Amino acid sequence: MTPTRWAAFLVIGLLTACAMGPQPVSTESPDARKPPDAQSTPAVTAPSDGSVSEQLPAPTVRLIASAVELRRAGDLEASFARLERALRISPQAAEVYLELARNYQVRGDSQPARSAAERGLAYCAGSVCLELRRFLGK
Amino acid sequence: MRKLEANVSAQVQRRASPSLGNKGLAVHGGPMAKVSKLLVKLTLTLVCCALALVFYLDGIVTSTFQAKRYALPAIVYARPLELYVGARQKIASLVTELELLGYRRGQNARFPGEYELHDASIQVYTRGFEFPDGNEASIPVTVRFSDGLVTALQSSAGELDLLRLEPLLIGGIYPKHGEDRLLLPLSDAPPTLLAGLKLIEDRDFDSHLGFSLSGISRAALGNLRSGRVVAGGSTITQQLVKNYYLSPERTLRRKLIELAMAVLIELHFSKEEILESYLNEIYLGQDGPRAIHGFALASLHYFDTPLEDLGLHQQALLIGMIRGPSLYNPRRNPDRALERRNLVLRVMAAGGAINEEQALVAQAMPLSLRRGTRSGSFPAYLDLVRHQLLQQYEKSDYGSAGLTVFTPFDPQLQQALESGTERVLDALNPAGDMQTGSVVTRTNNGEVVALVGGRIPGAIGFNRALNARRPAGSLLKPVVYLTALLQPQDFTLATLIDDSAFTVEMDNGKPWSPRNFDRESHGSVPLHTALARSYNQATARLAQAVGLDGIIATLSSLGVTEGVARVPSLALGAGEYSPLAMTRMYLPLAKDGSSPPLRAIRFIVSRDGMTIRANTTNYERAIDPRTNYLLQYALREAVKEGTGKAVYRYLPADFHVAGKTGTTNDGRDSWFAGFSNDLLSVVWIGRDNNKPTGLTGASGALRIWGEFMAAANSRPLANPVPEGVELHRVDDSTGELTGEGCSNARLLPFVQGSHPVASTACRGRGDGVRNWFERLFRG
Repeated sequence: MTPTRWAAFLVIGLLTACAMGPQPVSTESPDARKPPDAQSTPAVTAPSDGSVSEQLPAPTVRLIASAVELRRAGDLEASFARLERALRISPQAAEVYLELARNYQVRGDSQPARSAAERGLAYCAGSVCLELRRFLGK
Repeated sequence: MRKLEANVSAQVQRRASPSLGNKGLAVHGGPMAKVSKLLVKLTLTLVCCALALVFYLDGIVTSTFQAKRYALPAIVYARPLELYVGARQKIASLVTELELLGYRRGQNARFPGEYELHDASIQVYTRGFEFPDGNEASIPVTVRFSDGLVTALQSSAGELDLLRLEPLLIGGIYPKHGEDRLLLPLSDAPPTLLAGLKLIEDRDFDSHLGFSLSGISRAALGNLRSGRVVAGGSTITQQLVKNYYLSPERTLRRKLIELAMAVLIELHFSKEEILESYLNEIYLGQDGPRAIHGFALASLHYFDTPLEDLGLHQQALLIGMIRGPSLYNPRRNPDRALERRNLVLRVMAAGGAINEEQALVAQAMPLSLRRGTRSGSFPAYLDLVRHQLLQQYEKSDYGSAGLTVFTPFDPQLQQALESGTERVLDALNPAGDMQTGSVVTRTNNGEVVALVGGRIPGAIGFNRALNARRPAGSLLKPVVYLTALLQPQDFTLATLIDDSAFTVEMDNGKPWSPRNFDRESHGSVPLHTALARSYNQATARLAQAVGLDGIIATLSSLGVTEGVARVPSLALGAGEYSPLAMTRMYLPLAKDGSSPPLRAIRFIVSRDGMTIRANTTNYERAIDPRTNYLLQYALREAVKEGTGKAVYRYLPADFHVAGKTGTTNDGRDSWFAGFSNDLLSVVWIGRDNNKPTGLTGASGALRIWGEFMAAANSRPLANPVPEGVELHRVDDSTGELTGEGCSNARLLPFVQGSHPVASTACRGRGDGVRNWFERLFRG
C-alpha cells in the first residue's frame, strides 16, 4: 500500500470515528477499527462505479461486482451465493453487507435487509457508512 | 419400503374371506354334487384370489421398480477450500486437505488430482467441480505461502486471485435401513465382471423367465439331503425381488411371491435393465451403520478404485462376496475371502469368461484392499445435517431422492478438534470412561464447521454435542450479567455487587445458599470482576436483583428455551443444555448481538442438478450491540485475568479471545465456551452416568478448546466499538470516575450516558500502567 493510500485511509478512519461516537475511540490507532482482512490482504482498485472500498481483497471486489450484476439481471439466488462467498473471504467487509441488504430488499425481506445493513454499519468506513445509514433511514 | 409379505397376506385374507365365509350357498342334488360344486367354487375363488394377487404384485412391480432402480441416498459434501491471495492457510494443512481429497503426490503435478510439495509452495493440478453457484475448472496452479498466508496463485495463464478445490465427500444420508450406493450404467461395468457374475450366480440368466427350473432342482436336492433349507436356487431376478421387496426369511409363501414377482419383472423389463438394477442393488457389506450396495460403491469401499479400473482378482473377490458379504469379508476373514475369490476365478476360467493364464495370474495376486478402515465419514456432523435436512427439505424421500447437500463442514478444523480432543482426554482420563461433545461455528454467519459427538470422534452412537442434556454451571452466568447490563440506568460494568454469602427461600420452601468455588466472600466487587472471576454469591445476588423472568427472557432472546430450570440456581447454570444449545446461546455474544441460525447446510441440490434450497444468512438482532460489547469486555477479562486464564498456555499473549468456564457440582460437568474473531467453540466433558470427573471448566474443557484454537489458524478477536458506546476510566474499588494512572483505574466501556457521575479526587497522569483493554485501543 502506498503512503498516499495509508494517509487517505487514516483520514477516513479518523473522520468516521469522530462521526460515530465518543471521544476516546477517536484517538485509537487506525488498526483498531480496521477489519483484519484489510490488514492481511493486498488492496486493489475499486470498480469504476466506486461502490466498493479500496481496501478489499481482489476476489471480494470481483464477487461483489458479480453479485450486483446478477441482481440487476434478476438472478437473486446467484447474487446471494456470490455475496455469501464474499463474506467468507471478507467477513468484515461492510460493502458486502450493503449489497446483501439490497438483495434482501429486492426479495421483499425487510427484516433481514435491515439486519444486514446494521451489521455492515459496525464495519463501515467513509461513503459506505453513508449508504448504509441512508439504507436504514438514519 | 416395508416388506411385502404382510401386505400380500392381508390382501389374500381380505379377498378370500367373503367367499370362504359365505354360508348362504344354495343346496341342490346329492352329497357328491354338493361337494363338487363346493370344490368348483373353492377353485374359482382360489383362482380369483391368485389373479388378484398377481394383479396386485404386477401393480407393485410396475409402479415401484423404476423408482427403486434409481433410489439414491443424499450425498454430503464439506465446504470447498477457497484459495486466494491473503487466505489464512498453512501449507501443511493444504497438504492434509489434498490427501483427504485423494490427490497423489507426483512429479510436477502433470495430471488432475496430483500435487507436488516444495519448501514454500505447492504445485497442484485441481480436478474441477460443478458447484451449485458455478463451475470450477480443472487447472494446474502453483500456490505460494508465507507466514501462514497464501501469497500468490500462479497458473500457466497468469496470476489468479481466487480458486476453490473440489469439496470432500463426507458421507451419505441414507433411507431408514442405511443403504448407500452409487449408480453405475451397465455399459460401464467390465465385461469380465458381468460374465463372472452370471457364471456364479445365474448361469441361465440370458434365457430364463425369472426362475430357473434347473437351479431350483439343484437347490431342492441340496435341501433334501441336508434336511433343511440351505439353498434357494434363486436367479438374479429373484435375488433382485428379494432385495427390493421381501424379507430374508425362507418360507414357501415368500418363495412363491418371489417367483411371481420375478416373472412379472421379466415380462415388464429387459434383461439389461434387470442386470443393471442387480449391479446397483446387491448388498456387499457393511461400513458401520452404512450398508454397501452395488458394485460401484463396493469397489471404492474395498479397493478405493473405480469399478471400471478393477483388476480381475478384485472383480472376482466382489463376485464371491455376494454369497456371504460378512462370511467372505476380506478384512475380517482374509483367508476365507481369498479361497472364495480363487474359486470364482477357476469357475470363470472353466466357463470361458477368462482364459486359464489370466486365472492363474489373478489367483497369485494379493487381496489388494485399500489401506485404513476409516471411511472418511463424520457421523456426528452428519447427524446435524440429517436433522436440518429434515427441517429444510420437508419430504420423506430425503434419503433416496439422490439429493446433494453442500455443507460448511471444514475438514481441517475437524481434524484440529478431533486431535485436540483425543490428546487431552487421553492425558486426563487414560481409563477412557469420560465423554465429550464439542461444536465449532463461524461467528460471522453461524455455520457449523466442526463437531465431535463423543470420545472416539469417528464412532457411531450417542451424539453428545447434539443430545447430551447437562447443567451448564457458570457457562450460563453471562446471561445474568447481560440481563443486568440491558438496564444501563441501573447496571454498568462498574456497578459494585455484594459478594457476601446469603440464603434465599425457593418456591418449595427450601433454603438455597450459593457458595463461591473458593469458599470465600470477596466483599463488594465490580460487576465485570464478578463475571470474570465467576463469583457465585455475587452472581446469585445479581440474579435476585434482575429477577428470574428477566433472565429467562434473555435466554429466550439468545435462542435457549428448552431445559431452562425456573429456579434461583438458574443463575448458576441449573437446567439441561446440550453443547449445541450453548453454542446457539454464545453465538450472538461472540459478534455484535445478532443471531444467525446455526447452519449445517449451504445448498440442497436435486438429482437433476437444480438448486432446491440456498441458505442465506439472516443477521437478526438478538441483543443490543452496545450491551453485547460490554459483556464481551467482561468475557475478555475472564480469559485475561479470571477463571479462563489458562487459554494463554495455548495462545500467544497478544492473541485476543473471550470466553467462560463452567463447572457443576463435584466436577460432574466441565465446560468451556470461547471465541476469537472468526470461530466460536463450545466444549463439554463429563461422564454418561453423571458421576464426578474431578475436573473444573479450566482443567478439562478449556484444554481441548485451547488445543483446538492453537491449531485452528484463527483470527484474534477484534470487534469494533459499536455506536453509542463510550470509554471511561473508573476506580474499580469505588465505581467512580478517575484519572489515568490513578490507583485501581481501569478503562471500561459504557452505554452512552450511563457512566458514573461521581469522581475520585485523583486527576491522573498520562504515564500510568495500561491494562490489556487500553493497550488494545491505544496501540
